[in-house]
Amino acid sequence: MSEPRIELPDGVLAVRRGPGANCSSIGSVVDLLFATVVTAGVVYAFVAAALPEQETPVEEKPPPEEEP
Amino acid sequence: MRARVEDFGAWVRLDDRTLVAVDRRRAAALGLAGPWSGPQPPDIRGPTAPLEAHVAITERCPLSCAGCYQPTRVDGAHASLDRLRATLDEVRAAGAFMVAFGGGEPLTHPDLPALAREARARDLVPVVTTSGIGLTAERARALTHFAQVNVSYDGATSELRASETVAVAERAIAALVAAGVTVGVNVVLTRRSVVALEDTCARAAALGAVEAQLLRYKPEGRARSLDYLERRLSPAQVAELPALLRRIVDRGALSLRVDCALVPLLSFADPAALDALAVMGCEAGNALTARTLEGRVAPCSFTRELEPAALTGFAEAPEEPCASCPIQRVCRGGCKVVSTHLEGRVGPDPECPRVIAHRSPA
Repeated sequence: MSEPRIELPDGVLAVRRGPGANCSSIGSVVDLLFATVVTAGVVYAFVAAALPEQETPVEEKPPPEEEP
Repeated sequence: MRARVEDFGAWVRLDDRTLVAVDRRRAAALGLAGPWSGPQPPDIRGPTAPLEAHVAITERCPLSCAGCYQPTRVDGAHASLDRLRATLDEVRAAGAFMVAFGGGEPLTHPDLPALAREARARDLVPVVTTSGIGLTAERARALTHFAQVNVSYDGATSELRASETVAVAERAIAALVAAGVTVGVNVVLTRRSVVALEDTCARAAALGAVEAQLLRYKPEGRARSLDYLERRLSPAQVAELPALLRRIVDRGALSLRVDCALVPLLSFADPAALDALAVMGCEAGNALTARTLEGRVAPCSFTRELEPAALTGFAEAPEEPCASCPIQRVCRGGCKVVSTHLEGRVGPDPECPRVIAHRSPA
């Protein structure tokens, strides 16, 4: 099966769409695996427009959680 | 907007529905700083803090669905609001962006609307999953602080739920949509439900659902029985799954999401595309964390009895055929609930087509 190549704006490694979370499992939107190049381009344009150029509050990577 | 520094750069949350991973250069342009050392990682994979947390708020549920992964009871206990506030504090401190409330049936918890507000106050995006039972128009209007409410809806042919739950779910979807709540549906894929998946998705979309979350049937809780073998997808249905998903996407009626346990069944996909979409396989104990009703940390909602280090350890150093799989860094070896149930150990997912082929005589 062939899919369109998903191009992302410069400096963007990944775009995770949808709220993702579910009570029983982590979920991932996969529409673009099957979508047209035009649809993939919409995501590119949205991220390019929405991703700020200005500074945003810093949040350090937290330490690993303690497991039981 | 929130951002969290990572080895690859940073996660940036643009809105309730969009997380973007940026590289170090782009992160620095946003005013974010390391510590970063070594070369720029090529992708987002690797050990990390949780992006999302799954929080059990009750073990009470009036239903007794055959496939439920939780030991629910009609008189099950609720977690107190104070305990859940403390859990939300922990989840936020752990760095998560999203929190998913589950049960039992979350609608039985008297503080469910308050929990959404408590999550928002901590800059967490809240979502919840419900069967819809007990949902009225008034109660639906109290759920508007949730980014999305997912209704369990397996369609008319499911063997997992009582037939009357279909009407319950449909009424709930309609009530939530009328209240202005974004609605998704959770569809558990079984040998029977997958046959009607296109119709189920079309019906859900007609009712106003914007997304279908497809869930692999997992042998946990009430599903941990011999019936599991009869209810799981057949190899032929697994082989047909990509074409089925494509037909649903082509209809354009709703968005399609797959759960972590279905990722092994996407081995047809381009690894670069999976990376670009941040598709996540078994992230239990890594990008995913869970809290039990008692507030204990667990790798995921299903894995309370599994050793967290065994899950993440296998993902980081897998055996064959996972070690040579092109999507291993995405899939992380498949669902360990399945491998533990079927083979008694944390290992390659025995229902993955690639694993089946690897083990088959030439």
